[in-house]
Amino acid sequence: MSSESVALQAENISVSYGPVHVLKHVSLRLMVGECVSLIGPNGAGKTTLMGALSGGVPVTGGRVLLNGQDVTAWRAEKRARAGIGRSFQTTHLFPTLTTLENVYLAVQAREGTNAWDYLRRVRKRLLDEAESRLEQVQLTAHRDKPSGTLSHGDKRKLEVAMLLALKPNVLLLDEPTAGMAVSEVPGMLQLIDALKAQRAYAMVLVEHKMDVVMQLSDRIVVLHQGQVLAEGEPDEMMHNADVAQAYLGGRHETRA
Amino acid sequence: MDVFLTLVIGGIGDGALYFLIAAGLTLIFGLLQVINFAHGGLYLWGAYMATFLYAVTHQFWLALIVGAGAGAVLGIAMERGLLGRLYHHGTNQILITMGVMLILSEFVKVPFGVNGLNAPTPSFLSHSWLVGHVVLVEYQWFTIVVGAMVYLVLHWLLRRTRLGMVIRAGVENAGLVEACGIPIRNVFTVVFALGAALAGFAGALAGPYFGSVTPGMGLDMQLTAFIIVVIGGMGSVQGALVGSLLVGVVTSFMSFYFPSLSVLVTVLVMAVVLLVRPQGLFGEARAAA
Repeated sequence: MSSESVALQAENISVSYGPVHVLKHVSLRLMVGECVSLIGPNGAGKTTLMGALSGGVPVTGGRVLLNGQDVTAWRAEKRARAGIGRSFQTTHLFPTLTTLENVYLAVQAREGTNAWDYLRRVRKRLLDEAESRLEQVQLTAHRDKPSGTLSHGDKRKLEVAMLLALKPNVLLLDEPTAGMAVSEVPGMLQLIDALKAQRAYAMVLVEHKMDVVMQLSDRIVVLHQGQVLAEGEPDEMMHNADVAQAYLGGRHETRA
Repeated sequence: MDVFLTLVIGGIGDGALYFLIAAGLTLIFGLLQVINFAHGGLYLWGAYMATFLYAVTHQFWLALIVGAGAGAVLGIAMERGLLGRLYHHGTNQILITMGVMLILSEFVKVPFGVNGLNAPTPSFLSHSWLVGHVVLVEYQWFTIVVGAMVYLVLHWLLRRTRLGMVIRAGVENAGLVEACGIPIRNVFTVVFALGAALAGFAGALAGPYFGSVTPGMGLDMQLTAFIIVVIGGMGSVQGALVGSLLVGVVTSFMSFYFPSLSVLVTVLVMAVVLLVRPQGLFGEARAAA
């Protein structure tokens, strides 16, 4: 395992809020092209770990390495520009901005960040790039609508377009199918599967739907009470007695 | 009819001045979620610095710039030094900004005394004309034109530039702006400085407008500006404009016909707006999340 192929590494991450220890010495290593799922009961610390990786949650101990570089002290915005793209559990958009403007905001993040750059007019070249991102997720027809008026499925597609516009190499997907109608889920799965097939992204997936997890993951990490309880390949995890005890409430479950 | 026109023009003039303060206040609230109770203090210091500088140098334009600069410098110091540590701590923010307001209002008395200063109108803006029976005051019109120009510049900034798009996006979801790789923290500082500069600039204009500057002017303006922002909808620059004109004109009429009721009526307008449209005239109803 050469060090070049490690995309993202968490070493001994701890997160505490006062006396509450949400994460206790969690380590995670993510290879380029790999999809790792985080599972565990509610409150296990999955979303907190995603936050610690993306920079939204300050860590109280440990390090985060992106492509071998220590990014622990970087703010979320800097990590995003360096290649960590994150989606949120609940729909995160700018509802009164148009669909195109939403994507534009993500596209322009790679442009300069000094004050002068911000006073310049919205640029044509970037608008074109934003348009092509919309085309990718088939939302061109809605480009001038406020994003708040889109259907739920379209909103989630728009989020993916925004995420990809950042040109990330690490994708942190926090329950991408949450709140979706059953009929909308396969579309999202296809999208994620297509991304995975490109082998260019390292993905961390938080998901409650076990069929989704089994279908997409190369590896599963089980969090329980802020600690890594077990990790391994999907089949192995499904037959792990500790996991069954902690996560599945003692019930031994196999794939349908 | 002449009285009517005079009162309307006077109200619009006052409204233009109110707008400069309310616009900054509403932008700061919209993006940073901070109700800046020290905003009137920035206005106060802008007024004093400009008046002092004008008395010494007789450079009106320089005085305006220095007024805006004083606001901006105080604003940046406040945002970086105090508020930056207190985002998402609503109660602490209110207490801190109120404390800063009191400090700014009291401290101005140390160099300048408790009695206020005369603020003369520069000679090239002190004409007035009688058209029919309506008095047109040049400085009043100057204030109205400046207010309109500031509105147009803000509108352009928010609608046409990248910073504007980031600000509008940040008003809706600051966390997502950051996840998009945009240094929102710096944008916060820029917006706070901009709002503070507008308040200082308004102070510099207000001296000659009212003829004097006093230590209490900040608190008075703070109350009015706060009412305007609530009426217009917190976070909306358009709302700040409409609210300013509404409050300006209503106050102008009330202080002519029923002077003792003028503050009461402003608050009454606010109460009615809150009852009918709790998010303000141009405010977005915020989802609880």
